[in-house]
Amino acid sequence: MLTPLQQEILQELVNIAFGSATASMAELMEAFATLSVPSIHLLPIEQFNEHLRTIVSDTQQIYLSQQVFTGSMKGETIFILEAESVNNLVRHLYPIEEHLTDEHVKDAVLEVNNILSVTTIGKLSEIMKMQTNFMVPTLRILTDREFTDLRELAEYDAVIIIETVMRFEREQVSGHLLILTASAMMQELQHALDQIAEEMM
Amino acid sequence: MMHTERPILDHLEVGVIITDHDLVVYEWNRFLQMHTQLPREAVIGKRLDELFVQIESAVLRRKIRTTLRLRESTFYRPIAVAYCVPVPIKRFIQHDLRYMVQRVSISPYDESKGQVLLSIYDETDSRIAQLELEKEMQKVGRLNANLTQEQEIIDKNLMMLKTDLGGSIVEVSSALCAFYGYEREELIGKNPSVFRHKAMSSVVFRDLWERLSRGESWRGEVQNLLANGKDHWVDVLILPFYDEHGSITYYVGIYHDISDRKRLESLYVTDSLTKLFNRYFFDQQMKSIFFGKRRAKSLSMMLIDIDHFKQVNDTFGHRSGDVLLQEFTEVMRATLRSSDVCIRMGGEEFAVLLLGAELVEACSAAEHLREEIEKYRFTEVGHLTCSIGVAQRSDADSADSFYERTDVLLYVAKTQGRNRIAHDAILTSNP
Repeated sequence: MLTPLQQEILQELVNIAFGSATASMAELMEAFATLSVPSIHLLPIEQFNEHLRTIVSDTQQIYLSQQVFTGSMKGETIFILEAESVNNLVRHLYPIEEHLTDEHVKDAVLEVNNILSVTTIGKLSEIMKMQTNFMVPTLRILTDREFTDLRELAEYDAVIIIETVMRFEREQVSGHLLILTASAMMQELQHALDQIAEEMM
Repeated sequence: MMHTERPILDHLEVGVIITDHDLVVYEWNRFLQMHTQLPREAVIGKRLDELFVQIESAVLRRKIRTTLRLRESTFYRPIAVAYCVPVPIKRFIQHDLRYMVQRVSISPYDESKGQVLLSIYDETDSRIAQLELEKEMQKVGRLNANLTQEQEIIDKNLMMLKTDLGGSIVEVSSALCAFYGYEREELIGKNPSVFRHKAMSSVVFRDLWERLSRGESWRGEVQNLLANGKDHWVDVLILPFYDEHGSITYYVGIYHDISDRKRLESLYVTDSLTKLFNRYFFDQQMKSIFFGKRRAKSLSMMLIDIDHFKQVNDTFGHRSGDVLLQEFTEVMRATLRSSDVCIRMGGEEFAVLLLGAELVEACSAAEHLREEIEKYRFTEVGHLTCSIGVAQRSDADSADSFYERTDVLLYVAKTQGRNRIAHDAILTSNP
């Protein structure tokens, strides 16, 4: 789907974007936050569900938030956290004495997803001189690997998988950020990556 | 705020606030003025957390900071009170919601001044729909839990099996497995005929399959064999189940153990001394015969009395009388057809119902019995005789008239000298 050079440039761009995301996360979450260097790979959409099964454990609940982005750069991000990571995140975001409801938990996941999506996709689109706009993120709590009902993903052709681990001081939060795109968008992306490659030469 | 912007904001069907990290209000559009009854002048320059103490100020500040840092919209769904700005709900709704449920988008407005624009969307309707859905889902959850519980109760307590159209068992309840003494795996794929007792007539099963093939249900009492070789009586109801096209897809059999009832019934209709049927059974049979259920076939009756039985009791005692009655019964059984129904009416009087027998056949059987009794040497009393009245049911007969007519014939046989039979057409004597 991407040439080795395109993939290398994309990895570099994502590294830059994540650098920005780390700084934002640290500032916005009022904590020393680190994001591990993201690993990137691409998958055809048919392998999406299979991939999901490999990245989450059998037994845990999965918090899966989705956020659509539109514009010249468009697609959808999926951010996946397992229940343990969500607990760690919530413990960091809210005072321990506060009575926490499911709504607090959902809000925490959506907030982190929003920050990650906006910083990563926003930075990528800025570097590639593309425009993008973010829709309201939504959240689902899935059990028993109920991935198969993600029907709306059908309109996408490819998945860019960016996996990272966040650490907030003591609390470890492992998340998977997946970027879903249509083939038209992939062509735009390839074109933009080629242009960057030319500028670098 | 530019002069051209305010009319635009005032025409929006969403609440709009321009504020900053300190939550100071710089703009308050008409939507909010209308819904909160707070005019612009009362709000501008004030802090949101002063105006509305319930506001989650720490969270809201964090979100505003994020918006300004990212230069992108962030989204805020107030959690504790479900609203950013309290707007009482005035319309009639049957819910606990007293305030408009709100979702808030926070967008960068004037970055140089650190100002953001809060767009407040009314999400009351979708929240109501969500609450309704949750309520319904809880109901469904409860129903499902009850259903699972009921299924378990049925499985453990109701003897049921399901067969395909060929009669092979595809499902079987734990209760049925436990009753018959089989493991479920032993029964799956087998035919329910594995329970069949050799005493059961194939006519019963032919009737069963004929009814089922007509799409009717079948119910009957069946003697079955358990895995340990013991026999039991079961009441079986078999129901056909149809698909949406009206074709039978499978059969369900519901089994009910009636062994105790059968034992009781048997005790109820059995004479304890001779083990023949008793007078109660005779009355029941006569009722069912004369209420039209079995009118098609011919029917004859014998009434038998042991001659001088009173003398036996007086001379040899009641125990000898009992032994005599048991031996008399044995002779009856050995002489008559297995299809003839022998009844001890009481004392030394017996009846025999001969289904399908004309008078001639009945007389012949009666005569044969009389001869056999005459020849028999009874253990304690030696030889004795009996008198027999024989009649065939006529179309004019009722149960009572048929019995009475036969009884009169028995009386005739007695008065004509005993050790003889008397019948409707001709009196036959055997000196």
